[in-house]
Amino acid sequence: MSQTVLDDISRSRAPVRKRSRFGDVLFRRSSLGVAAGLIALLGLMVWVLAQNGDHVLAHFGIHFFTGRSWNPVTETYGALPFIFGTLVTSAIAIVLAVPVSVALALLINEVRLGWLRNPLTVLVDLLAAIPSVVYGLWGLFIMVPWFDHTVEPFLAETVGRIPLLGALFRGNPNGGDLLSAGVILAVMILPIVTAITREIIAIVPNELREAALALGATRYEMIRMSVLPYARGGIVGATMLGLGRALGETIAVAMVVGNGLGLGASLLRPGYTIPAVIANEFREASSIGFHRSALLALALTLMAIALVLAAMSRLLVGRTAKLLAGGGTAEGAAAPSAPAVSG
Amino acid sequence: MKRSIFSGALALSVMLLAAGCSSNSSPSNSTNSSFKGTAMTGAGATFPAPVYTQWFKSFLSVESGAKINYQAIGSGGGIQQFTSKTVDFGASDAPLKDAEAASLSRPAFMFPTVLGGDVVAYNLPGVTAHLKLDGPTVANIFLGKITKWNDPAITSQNPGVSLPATAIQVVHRADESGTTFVFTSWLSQESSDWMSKVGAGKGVQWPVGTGGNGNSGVAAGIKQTQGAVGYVEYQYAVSSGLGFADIKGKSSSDYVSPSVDSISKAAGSLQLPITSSTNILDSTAAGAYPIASTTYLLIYKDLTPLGKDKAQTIYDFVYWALTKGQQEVSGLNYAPLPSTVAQQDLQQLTQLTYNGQGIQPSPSVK
Repeated sequence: MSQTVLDDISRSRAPVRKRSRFGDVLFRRSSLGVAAGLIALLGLMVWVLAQNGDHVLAHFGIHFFTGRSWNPVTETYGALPFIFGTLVTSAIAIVLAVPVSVALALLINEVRLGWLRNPLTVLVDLLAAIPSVVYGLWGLFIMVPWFDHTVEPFLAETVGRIPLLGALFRGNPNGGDLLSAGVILAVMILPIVTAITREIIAIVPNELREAALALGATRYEMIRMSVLPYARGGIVGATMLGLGRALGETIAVAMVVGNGLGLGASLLRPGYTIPAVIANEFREASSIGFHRSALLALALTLMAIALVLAAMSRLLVGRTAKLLAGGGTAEGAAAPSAPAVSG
Repeated sequence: MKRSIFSGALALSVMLLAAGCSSNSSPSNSTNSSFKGTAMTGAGATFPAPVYTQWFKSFLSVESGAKINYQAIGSGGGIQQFTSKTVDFGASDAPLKDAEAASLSRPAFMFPTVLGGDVVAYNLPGVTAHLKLDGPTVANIFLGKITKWNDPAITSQNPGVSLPATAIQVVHRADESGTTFVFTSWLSQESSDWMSKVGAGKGVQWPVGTGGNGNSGVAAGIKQTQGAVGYVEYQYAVSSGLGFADIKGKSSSDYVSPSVDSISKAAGSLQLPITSSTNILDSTAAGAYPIASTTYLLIYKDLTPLGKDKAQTIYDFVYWALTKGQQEVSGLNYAPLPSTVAQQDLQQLTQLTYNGQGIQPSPSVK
C-alpha cells in the first residue's frame, strides 16, 4: 500500500477521525479513572483491615504469625495453623487440577474430537457456575464419607507404607481433612484453569505446529516442542488465577476441612484455613478484646500471601519468557497472572 | 398427626368465624376498641428462632398488626444491634456480660423465654440403650484422654451394655455458638482439668476432634463416622434421630435423660433479675437435666423512644409469650418455663414503663 492511498483514505474520513480523537480522549480518561478507582479500592480495603487488625498485630507482634494456639478463651491468637492449612490445601488443589486442566485443554484443541468437543467445553465451563456451597454440601455428604471409608484407608495402606512420601498419608482418616479440602478445591478451580489454558493453546500460531510436523514430529512431539513452550507463560498465569480462587475459597472448605488446629505432615488430619476460620468465627466474635481484631489481621495476612504469590508468579513468567527469548515465544501468551482472592 | 389435624380444624373454624364476622357489616364487639399492634423488628439468637417464628405467627391472630420481623443473626449480633438501637428488641442465649450491660445507654431487662439443652450424641451401631455418662467422663472424652468406647471409665457406668473397642471420634462446633458456650461452661463446672486446659466460651480451642458447621454439620459428622461423639441442641438431636446419652452432673443424684420435662425442671431454681453469671447448669432440682440453658429477650426498661404503639405491642407480645405462648413450645421440642420463672418474668414485665408510667396488657392477650 502506497503513501498516497493512505492519504486518500485519511482525507476522505477526516470528520470521523476528528470525532474518534475525542472518543480516544474520553476513553483514556474514563479507563484511567476506573483504574485509579480500582487501586484506591484495594488501598482502602488494606487500610481498613490494617486499621482494625493492627491492634492485635501490635500486641502479639511476630508471634501472631508463628503461634500455634488460637484460643478465644485465653485471648491467645496465633495464625500458623491457618496459614499452613491455606497453603497446603491450595497446593493440593494446584497439583491435582493443573495437569488435568492442561490435558483437557490439549484434548479440546489438539485432538480431533468431532461432536464431543462442544459438549465437553460447555460441561467444563458449567462446573464454574456451581455455587461453592453446593460443592461444600456434596463434599460433606458424599465425598468425605467415601474418602473416609474407601479412598483414604486405601492410600494409607499403599502410599502410606512408602518412606518419606508415606508420611503424607498416615493417621486416622475419619471426618473432614486437608486432603478432602484440597480435592474439593481442585474440582472448583478446574474450570477457570482449563478455560484460560484452552484459550491460550488456541492462539498458538499454526505455523509452529506445521513446522514441527514438517520436521517429522509426531503429534505428541509437536505438542511438547511447539505448543507447550509457547503457552507456558499463559499456563502459569492460569494456574495463578486458580490459586487465587483456591486461597480465598471459604464455605466449601469450611465444610470439609475438619476445622481443627492440626499442624503436621499428614494430609489425613483435620486442618483449618484462613477464610474458613473467618467465616466460622466472625459472626459471634466480640469486639471487646482481641478476637475480631485477630480475624481482620488474618484477612490482611491472606491478602499478603496472595500478593507474594502474585509477585512470584510474575517473576516466574518473566524468567520463562527470558529463557525462551530469541524464539520470540511465550511473550504474547503471558497475560493473566495476578491471583484474585475470590470467595 | 392427630394433633395437626385438630389444630388445622381449629384454624379452619377460626377462619370461618372471622369470615362470618367480616361479612357481617356491623362491627363485632371489639374491633374498634381493641389494640391491633404494630410492626416491630428484633434480632439475635438462632437457638430460639424456631420458637420465636412460631410465636410471631400465632401472635398475629391476637394482634393482627403485630408483624414482627426477627433476624436470627446470632447472639453477638443481637446484642450489638440492641446496643446501637437499630432494632426494637434483642435476643441472646447468654446473659449480657458486665461490660456489655455497661455499654448500654439506658437500663434494660433480660426476659427468659424458653429452655433448651445440649445433648451428648453418639454413633455406636449395635448399642441400643441410652449410654450413661457422668460429667468427668464427658470432659475426658472431649479432652482426648478417653480414646476407646470400651474404656473402663465408660463401661463401669454402663453395666450390661457391650461396648465395642472402636476409637472415639470427637465432633465439635467449628462456628462460634451459644450451644458451645453452654456445653463448655458445663464441662468447666464438672472438670477442673477442662477448666484449666480449655475453659468456657462460644468458641474454644478444642484439644481433639473435627469441627462441623452448625448443629447440622456436627450431626452430619456424627452420623457418618462410627464411634463419633459430639454435642448438639436437644431439639435438633430429637428431630434428626441421633442417639444421645443420659447424663449425671455433679448435682444430680442419678443419670437423667434429656427431655422437655427434665430440661424444664432445671430452671426451677432460676432467680430474676438475670445477671451476667446466671445459668441453669447442674440444677439441684430432682430429675433436672444438667446441661440445660435458657435464652433471653433484651428489652429496654423505658420504652418511650419506641413510641406508644410499639411499646404496647412489645409488652403484649412478651405477656402473651410468657402465658399462652408457653403452650406452643413443647411441640417444637423446646422446654417451657416452669411457672415459678414465668411468674417472676411477668413481675419484671410490670417494671417496663412508657412516659414514666407502667403499661397494662391489652385485653386481647389476657
